[in-house]
Amino acid sequence: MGRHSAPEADDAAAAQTGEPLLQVDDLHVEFRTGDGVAHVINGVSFDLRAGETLAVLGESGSGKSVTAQAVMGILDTPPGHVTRGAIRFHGEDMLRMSGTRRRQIRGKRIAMIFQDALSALNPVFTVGWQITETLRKREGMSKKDADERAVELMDLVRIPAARDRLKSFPHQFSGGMRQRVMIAMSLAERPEIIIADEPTTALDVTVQAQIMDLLGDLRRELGTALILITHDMGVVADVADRIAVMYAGRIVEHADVHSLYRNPAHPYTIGLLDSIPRLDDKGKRLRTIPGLPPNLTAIPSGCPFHPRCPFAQDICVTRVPPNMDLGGGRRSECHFADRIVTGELTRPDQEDE
Amino acid sequence: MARYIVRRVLQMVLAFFGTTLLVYWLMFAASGDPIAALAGERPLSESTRAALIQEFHLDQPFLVQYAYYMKGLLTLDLGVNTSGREIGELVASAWPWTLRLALLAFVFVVVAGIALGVIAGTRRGGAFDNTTLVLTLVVISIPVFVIGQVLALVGARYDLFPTNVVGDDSLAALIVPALVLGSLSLATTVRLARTSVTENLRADYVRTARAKGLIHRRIVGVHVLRNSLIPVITFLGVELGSLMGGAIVTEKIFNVPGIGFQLYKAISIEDGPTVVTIVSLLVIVYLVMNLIVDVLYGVLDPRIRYE
Repeated sequence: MGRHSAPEADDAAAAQTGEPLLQVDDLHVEFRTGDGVAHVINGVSFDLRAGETLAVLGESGSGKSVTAQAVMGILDTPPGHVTRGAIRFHGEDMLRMSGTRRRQIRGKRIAMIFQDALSALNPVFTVGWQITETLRKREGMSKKDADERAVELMDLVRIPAARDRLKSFPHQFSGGMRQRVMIAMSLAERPEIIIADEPTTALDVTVQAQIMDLLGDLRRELGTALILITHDMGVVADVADRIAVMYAGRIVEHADVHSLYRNPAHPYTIGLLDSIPRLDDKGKRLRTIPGLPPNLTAIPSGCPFHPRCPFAQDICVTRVPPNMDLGGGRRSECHFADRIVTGELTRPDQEDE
Repeated sequence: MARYIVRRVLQMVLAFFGTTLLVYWLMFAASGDPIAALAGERPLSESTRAALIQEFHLDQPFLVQYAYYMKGLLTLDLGVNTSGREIGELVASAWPWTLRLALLAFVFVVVAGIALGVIAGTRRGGAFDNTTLVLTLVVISIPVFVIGQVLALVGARYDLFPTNVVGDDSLAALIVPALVLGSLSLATTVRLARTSVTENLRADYVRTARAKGLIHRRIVGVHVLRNSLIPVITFLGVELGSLMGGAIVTEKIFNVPGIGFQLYKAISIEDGPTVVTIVSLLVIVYLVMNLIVDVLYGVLDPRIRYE
């Protein structure tokens, strides 16, 4: 299903890269509002292979969630419009599919988990009803079979006494359990990709760890590919294979987890890593990235990060940095990426502290 | 749940005695000579006067009079009115008319109100939405007796529809009165449903439903509608209570011989016993409807707890 009738050009591209599950290519999204056009996504490209976990990292407003919504096809249009690019699933561009075909992928082959499960679940239906909805409506399962499957799924995400809780409403669960319900719901039709948009942000720290463990285990057991969207550097280290760091609607650095933590190749990544609170820094001021993310209706010229960048030089104001290939699948959009990654260039403000 | 209902029923009892006492006091104790008020212009013979004093216990203190009256009401003996007719009989003949009128108006309000509200809410800012908003505003701004009178006049002059329901048993004759009676509720329902749908369309669970790959019709028709109906049904329940009793103006204009019409007549001839009895019955209907709505609210919204 869904793998035939792909345009030939896409087939060729897919063959070259060994057919990734999902390929996002030069995606542009803008939001057209009364105040002007906000350039929310400005040329995002990444791919995802079967069973792989990609973490998308960035501050609020960097375009992480919008990227996810564009991939899911649930962008609010208006105001959001995909203006350029392709999103290929098994080599076929989903942006050119009919609405009906796209909907058959959505939820079934690519599923999504949202941040706040209390508001993301419908308050007036039981969790059993919500988990089984697509099974009953799309898979044509009987209510009894669907309920059995829901119990299986709830067991899988380790909800205790699953059968008794089928008839419970979302508000009768704790935050962590609610997020498990959300995960169970996303797994209902055995998707190939799960997009988790800040799945732990609304939860207590201990519960956060449990949910991340669960996601890691499920991915190993079921072989599902995972796109993990987060602003929390601490969350991704254990789970992700690769990390894409987003800033102002672009992926500014793309690397495997270990390289990125060891030798970040973009000043923004350095800033993010520095702003993780450390035990041995106790008593000192938390290091932050100065300034605010840019206004997306007026993105700074050149490198969008230059007003906040400790390494910034004249060239950063005038020229958009190239997407530099650092080898080993690492990419960075910084004029000085090659010198930053080797440690040749250090933060000029480092000596002060 | 059971405890909640018991508590609510106790509150209802208090509200019932409070309102009836007030109405009884207004009708009897507040007028100087109740018998003169009851009898109106007619001269009364000494024996009639004595009989009336006997009937309404007018030689007793006010609260005792009230207690006698409540005893009659609660034992379903509604007594006789000032012209000697059984009030129970009067109510029994009037009630079906009011019931039919109210239910017809209610069906009209529910069906048209929710349908129009949902359509307007899903097309917020569109031509349909704006037209609906203006029209409902017009209806809300014009008092019912104006709408009713105008329609009755137009209907009678051009012979479009019956404007005098007395003697016409068909349901068709009640259609225009029901439209008039329900117009205000309809306009409010449309607006309430519209706002509720608009708000719910922005809710996070709608995004989840879309991410599940559900068709738009199901997202709006099941996920959004079910949530949007919570405030609408609450409003409708209370409205049904007032439609049952609040039809005085409409029934008068179209000569529907219902409860409202009888109440109007009783007030104009200062027939105290009838007024008090009908108002007491309306209070009961209203209170019961309110209780049903509150209990229904918990069924509609599982987050509500009765404690």
